[in-house]
Amino acid sequence: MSRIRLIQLGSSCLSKANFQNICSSGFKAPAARGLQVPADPTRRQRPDLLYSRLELELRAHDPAVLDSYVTFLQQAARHLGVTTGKLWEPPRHYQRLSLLKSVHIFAKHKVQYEARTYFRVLELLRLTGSTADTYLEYTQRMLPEGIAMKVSRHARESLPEHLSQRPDQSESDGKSA
Amino acid sequence: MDVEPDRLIASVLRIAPPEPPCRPIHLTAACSKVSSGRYKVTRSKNKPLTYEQANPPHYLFVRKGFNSFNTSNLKDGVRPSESAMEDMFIRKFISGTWHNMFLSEVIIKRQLNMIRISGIVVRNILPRKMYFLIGYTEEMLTNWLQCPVKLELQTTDSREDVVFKYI
Repeated sequence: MSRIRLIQLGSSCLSKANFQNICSSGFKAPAARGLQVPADPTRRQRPDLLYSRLELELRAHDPAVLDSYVTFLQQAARHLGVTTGKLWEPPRHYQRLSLLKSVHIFAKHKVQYEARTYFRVLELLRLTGSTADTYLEYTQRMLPEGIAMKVSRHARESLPEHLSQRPDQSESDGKSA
Repeated sequence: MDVEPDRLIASVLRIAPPEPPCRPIHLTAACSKVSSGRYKVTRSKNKPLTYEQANPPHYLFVRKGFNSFNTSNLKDGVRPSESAMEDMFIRKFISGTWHNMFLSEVIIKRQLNMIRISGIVVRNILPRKMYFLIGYTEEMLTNWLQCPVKLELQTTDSREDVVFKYI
């Protein structure tokens, strides 16, 4: 819980002025206390985006941590009723550097470093926008340190107006002639 | 016969049996002069080493873990140099603020926009002073690094708790 509170605070520290305000506020409506106001259900909202699939690409230095996080992702999907597609492992990538060992001269003596990146891609199928946002918010807050996630969303849209209607007859006659 | 004829003859004539054919190669210099991350053995064998110090760097990811966890060095990772400089700064700051109190290495974990600093600290000052140091460290680092910094320390009574061996 403390983790979530920290993100909401951001990098600002509690200054003296803020502290005094909070102490003297007493009972106030949620908005004035700085908390988010719940969405008004009577207000018209934009229709939800529909995603045919969501691809989560995970990268990490440690394959064991990656595997355990993927297990957590699959469990979370099961609990939230999200359909999982395939899970596959793209080939790992090793970055190797051969650098000079010494600060000055001695070019015959080198030291070698290696940075290993392991990948996993998990596919989630047929989600609504709100489900996707909820699932991603939950899983991204629980991301372990050292794991990076890249999300590719594939949304379904209705055909745009200029493509769904036939062009004017006069325009097409002029072009053909 | 069940014994090779060469070996039989060698055993009768009392000479060394011929070695099986192989061509070994030197993978390192004849005397490896690598001395990074290694501590010199003392005569009196009373120099304490933690587990981290006792294992040389080639045991990283085998017997040793890392001290810094971030995504900046992954493939297509962002800001690797800035993260490294920030880590160096944090370690210098902590070693200067907590005088000889950190028994382990300073572990730095980056999660979302937060930095979590862990370590084992010896309880040689009053709890009140320790709380002040924690707050001071968190406040100063938050201001300088412009992101939430949280200290997650573990304390212990004696310095012998972290000693792995004496050399």
